[in-house]
Amino acid sequence: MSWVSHDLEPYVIQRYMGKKVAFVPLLIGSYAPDLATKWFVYGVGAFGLHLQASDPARFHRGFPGVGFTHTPMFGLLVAGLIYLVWRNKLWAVSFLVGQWVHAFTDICDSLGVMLAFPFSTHIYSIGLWPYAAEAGRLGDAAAYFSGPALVWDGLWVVLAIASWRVLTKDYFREVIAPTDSFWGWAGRRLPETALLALYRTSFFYGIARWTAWILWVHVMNAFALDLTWGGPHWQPGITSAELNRGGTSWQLLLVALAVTLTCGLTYLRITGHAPSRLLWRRLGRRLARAAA
Amino acid sequence: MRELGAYVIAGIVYVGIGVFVPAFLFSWVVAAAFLLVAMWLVPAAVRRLVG
Repeated sequence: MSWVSHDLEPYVIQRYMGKKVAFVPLLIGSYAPDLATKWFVYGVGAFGLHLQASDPARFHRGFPGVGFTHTPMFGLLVAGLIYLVWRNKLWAVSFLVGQWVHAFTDICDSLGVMLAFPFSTHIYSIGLWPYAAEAGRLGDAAAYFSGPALVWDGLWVVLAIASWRVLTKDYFREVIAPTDSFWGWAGRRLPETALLALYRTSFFYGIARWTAWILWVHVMNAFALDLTWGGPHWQPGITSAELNRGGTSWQLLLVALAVTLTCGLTYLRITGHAPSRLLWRRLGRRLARAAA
Repeated sequence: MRELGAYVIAGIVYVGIGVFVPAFLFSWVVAAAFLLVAMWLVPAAVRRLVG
């Protein structure tokens, strides 16, 4: 799981896609896989009751559980529903982009995601840092900000800061507000200063949280830094191998990704966001040149 | 620049609270409320008191 990148990815995407995405559904898509699930992973207590998944890792990323929320197919399905219900192509595509970025980002931890779902419940991961939800929120934070995940999120902090133009008042007025009716609706209730604060919240949250956790983990406490692959090794993480029953099936993954990609391109074609013929021709020319 | 400065100060306060009370860092809703208070409500209240 990723602590900061899901906050900052939408701003970087916004920088490159401009008016081709709407920011609110992009952000919702980026948060969607964890939105209704993470509280049950860490557990919540009230009035003497403690609610928590009996097997948090399987619940969060596996099946049975809600691991399907972290799959490309889920993004496609919800985007399709958004399009069917609201007939809003921009909202549907923006949600899809945000959700897919989240799903592919979470491959980086030791648990990973079911990329080939629903064709397979096999979980794929590259194990760059440990999935440590079992350690509780603070334990997870300590492990996360003591390994390569710290650098990974740092990379997103740098990319987000490099995208600072998307945070300006002018950009908000010229690109963000006109492309999404949400801001017009919100603007009838709140002044522009408040709208800007809301628009900038995830950027603020991501960068401030990254800074605060580093200080808490390494200044207030003294957790050992271990930037090696899969680190920190003092925190055993749950691995995909523990949840997968069989061996890896890369051929199946390729087939599933091809099917998902075909579905995605067909969907983009239907909603009028398909890559233009010119783009395909350019790509073809480049590939031909590379082959020659 | 004045606006950027206000955000930086808000960020320093948020980080300061978060370092001593880590639970403060857990929720996006808390961050949104904090930013709305810091960047909109407090300046509006100050303007009203001064003006």
